[in-house]
Amino acid sequence: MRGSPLVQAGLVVAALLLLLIPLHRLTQREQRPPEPPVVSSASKQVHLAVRTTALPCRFQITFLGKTLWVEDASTPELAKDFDINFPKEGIDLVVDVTWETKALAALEITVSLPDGNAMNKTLWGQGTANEVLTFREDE
Amino acid sequence: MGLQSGCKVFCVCFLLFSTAKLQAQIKVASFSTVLSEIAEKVGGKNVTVTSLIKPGQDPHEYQLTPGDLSAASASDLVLLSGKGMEATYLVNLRDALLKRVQVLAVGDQIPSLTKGADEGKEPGKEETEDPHWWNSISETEKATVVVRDAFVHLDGQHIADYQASATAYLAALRELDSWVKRKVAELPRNQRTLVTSHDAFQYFAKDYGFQIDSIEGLTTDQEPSVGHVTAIIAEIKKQGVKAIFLENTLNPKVSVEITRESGARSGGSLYADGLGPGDGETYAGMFQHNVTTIVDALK
Repeated sequence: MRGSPLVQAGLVVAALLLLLIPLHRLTQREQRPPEPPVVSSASKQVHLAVRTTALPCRFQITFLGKTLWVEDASTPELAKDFDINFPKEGIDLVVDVTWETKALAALEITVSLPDGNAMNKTLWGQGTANEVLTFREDE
Repeated sequence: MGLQSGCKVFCVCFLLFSTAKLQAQIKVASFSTVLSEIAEKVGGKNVTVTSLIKPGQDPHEYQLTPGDLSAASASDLVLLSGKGMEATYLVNLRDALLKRVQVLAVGDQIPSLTKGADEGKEPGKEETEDPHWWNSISETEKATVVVRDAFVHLDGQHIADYQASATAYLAALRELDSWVKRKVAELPRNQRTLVTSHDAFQYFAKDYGFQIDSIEGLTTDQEPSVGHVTAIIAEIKKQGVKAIFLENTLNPKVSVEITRESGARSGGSLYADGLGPGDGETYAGMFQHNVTTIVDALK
């Protein structure tokens, strides 16, 4: 090959740089779309029933940081339906309750699922009670 | 100096000596940042605490120094985390201390979680006690009772003080636990997968319904195998974990590989091994920081 050594060197470098493009394409990590997660979550119509031993009673039920149900109860038994995700790992309900009486009182919460499975938990308190209640189908 | 002045000097010296005698304090040397706080809260003015492990220091990497050994030797009570945390220097420490110095491995007085044979991953492998009991508030309550009883045993003159201070600290811990339960309840139970650098949060997971996938082992000096890293990445993808929590003890190449391959982002830093600078200067601050960081990142 004839010509200036500088030109020759420049051509060699240019050829090597051009080779880098297919080399990079061949060796780069394949960008695959992420696989969908298999986190269990299914929205179910959940039936909540609340029973208090003392009236008047004010309660608030919070689910995932949002208020689900607030009630100034004038009857000892109340019930409502909610569409919420009920995974196999269960759900946590934050319950805050206030009774006018300072005597020992209780609030029972029953969670019923469409398949008939029902779970219940009870809070006890004198004047107030605050607790995080976990409801799981396998408990 | 007349007789009257001499009497005055004698009286002053006598009073000073008597006061000093009345205010005799239990000298505590602590090898745990959390135990230092417990000792200070429960002991109050009747106890002086020397923290030999400083906030932010990795207790897994701690090496006993001659200065720390002198401080421990000058104390009445040495507090250890226990459950094998001090295994690398415990024999030397016990050999070097005078017999009058009491050594209390607090963690050994409370129930343990174990790792190893029970997981079926490595058949025949010996079970290892998990030393990170402070990441459970209920275990910390038990530790507080152990420390209180030690002070009561050493100093019968201030039993009421120790009991009152411990009761107040236990009430604060229960309040903290209520706050944690409410904060964790913001996170769906099927999103409570905690991927961390080293396996320090099993006690936390047990209390608040989390599943742990750790990259390293129970200590920070165990390098993860390629197979383990691959399995962790697959698990993160499978569970749809949004964030992972890595420490600077982990090889940066491994951190980059896991976040890039799994698609999960870094959720922030956690106080895994006790108190540390910033939010984690107190036990309550440490716990609130960890819980807020975890819940907000995984939501």
